[in-house]
Amino acid sequence: MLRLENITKVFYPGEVNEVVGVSGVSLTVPEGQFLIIIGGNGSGKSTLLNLVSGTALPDTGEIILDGKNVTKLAEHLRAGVIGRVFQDPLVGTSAGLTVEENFSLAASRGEFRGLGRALGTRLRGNIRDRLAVLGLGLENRMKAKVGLLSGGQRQAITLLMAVFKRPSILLLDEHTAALDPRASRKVMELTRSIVRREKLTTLMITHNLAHALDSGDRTIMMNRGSISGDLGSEQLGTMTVQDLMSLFWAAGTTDEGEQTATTVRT
Amino acid sequence: MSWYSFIAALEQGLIFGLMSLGVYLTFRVLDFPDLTVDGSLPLGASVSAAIVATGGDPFLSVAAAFVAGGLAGAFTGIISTKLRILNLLAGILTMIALYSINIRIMGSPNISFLNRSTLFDGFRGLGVPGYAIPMIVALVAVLALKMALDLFLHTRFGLALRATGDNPRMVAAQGVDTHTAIIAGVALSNALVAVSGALLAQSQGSADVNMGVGTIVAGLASVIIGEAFMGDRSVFVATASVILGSVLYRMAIAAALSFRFGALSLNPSDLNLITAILVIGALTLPRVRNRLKSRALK
Repeated sequence: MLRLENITKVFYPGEVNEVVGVSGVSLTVPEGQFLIIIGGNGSGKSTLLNLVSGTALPDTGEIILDGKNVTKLAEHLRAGVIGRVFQDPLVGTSAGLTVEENFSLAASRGEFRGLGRALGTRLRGNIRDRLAVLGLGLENRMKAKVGLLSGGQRQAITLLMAVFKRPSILLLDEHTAALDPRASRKVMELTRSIVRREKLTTLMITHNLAHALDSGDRTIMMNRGSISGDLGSEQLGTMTVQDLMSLFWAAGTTDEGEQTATTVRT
Repeated sequence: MSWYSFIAALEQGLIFGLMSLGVYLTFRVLDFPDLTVDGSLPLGASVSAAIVATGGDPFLSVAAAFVAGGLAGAFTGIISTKLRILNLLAGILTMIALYSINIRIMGSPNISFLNRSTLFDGFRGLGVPGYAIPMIVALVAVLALKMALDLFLHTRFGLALRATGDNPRMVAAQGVDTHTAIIAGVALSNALVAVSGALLAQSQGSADVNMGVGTIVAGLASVIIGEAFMGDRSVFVATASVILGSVLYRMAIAAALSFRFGALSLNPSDLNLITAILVIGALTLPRVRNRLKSRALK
């Protein structure tokens, strides 16, 4: 369960290039909810995710994750309960390490890393079983360097790594945006099945409005650092992508610097 | 090259091989360009020499050198991570500071202890010819430390270190404290370099504050030459290649210095030029190899 209370983040305050990332945002995400976040570029979606993960620290407000106040906690100190998949497939995994070594890192996330062996028989078996579910044959390539794999394969691995140890919250930042249509669909199916099976509290940023309709329990729309729309599953259930698009434009959602749109597209 | 100079070059290659392992750990594994080594090599030599010159135990002096090198490396790591000083500059600053510290440790710019029993004297009388003792001791020390390093890089902490150098953004998300990883890695690296310096002092019977000049160049040359010959498929192969590279580098230098073409011969002062040519050659070798390979496939 995630609770954001009056979160504000301003970049370069008081300077010429001052930008309001997020402004006075309050949000409660109940346990097990799959929340989709949509919005134009610069609306604050990624900033919001970065604040939850600890990559950025808020100027005001509180962030409470599963009852624990993590507002000012450094990223690596709260990583134990957070699973994250980045937009760039090259960031989520370590190219110079092997597949199993990457998973070993994920398996010890949040734990003290001492001089114990990084990869034992039990852990290897565990990794192999989880990789086999993907149906990509990666369970036979566990000793291959990750840098040799395709973007889609790396993203699938990043996703599996993010949930290797059950996280309190799963953060997905446009994680299929950089993939080709087939890989994108595969990773999205994997995401849906994992989130549903494990009943994970999930935050997903996407530009793909179809995802909002067939994956999420709830969709919020962001604009200029604030939440401009909040739709639950009852409302989403009867909508089409076109309807969602219209709402998007009607809410005056703008790209940074653009004039506010006042006409509703039909 | 005579047999004696071959053994001597091998001995140098092995002793500096330890230093090269340290350079490999920072430059390749951590992706942290660490120039501290020009100061931590003589630091290890100074500490070891000062202890032995005042009657201390040579083995303990090497252990003390290890600790001293670790502290120097930790200092570089701390000012780089906590004070946000650029990693390259952090190493240079520590290296500069160590110049003064080394003189303080020795009480003068250099120190000699030819009348004292060194580390290697402890192994005399075991049936091995005297001139080969330092080489064999160095061989055992290097192999032992190489194996320890290989094991370490496969522990959970060592893996976190490797990942920190490979993808710092990802490791934070996996809960790795990159500051601790870097400080520990740079400390361990310089501890190895200091031991190298200590062994050097023991084999020379003296230590000099200027003996570290050019260490980083020799270390990088060894790493690069080793990679050109053996590659870096795995940690085990990479560390072996570094030691091999160091030996080959010293052999090449010994061969070059004994080279005579009529009236032409090379001086020790030509070493920098020889090193530059060697490193360029080693860096070009993989490309030439690939070119020949693709030609053969046609």
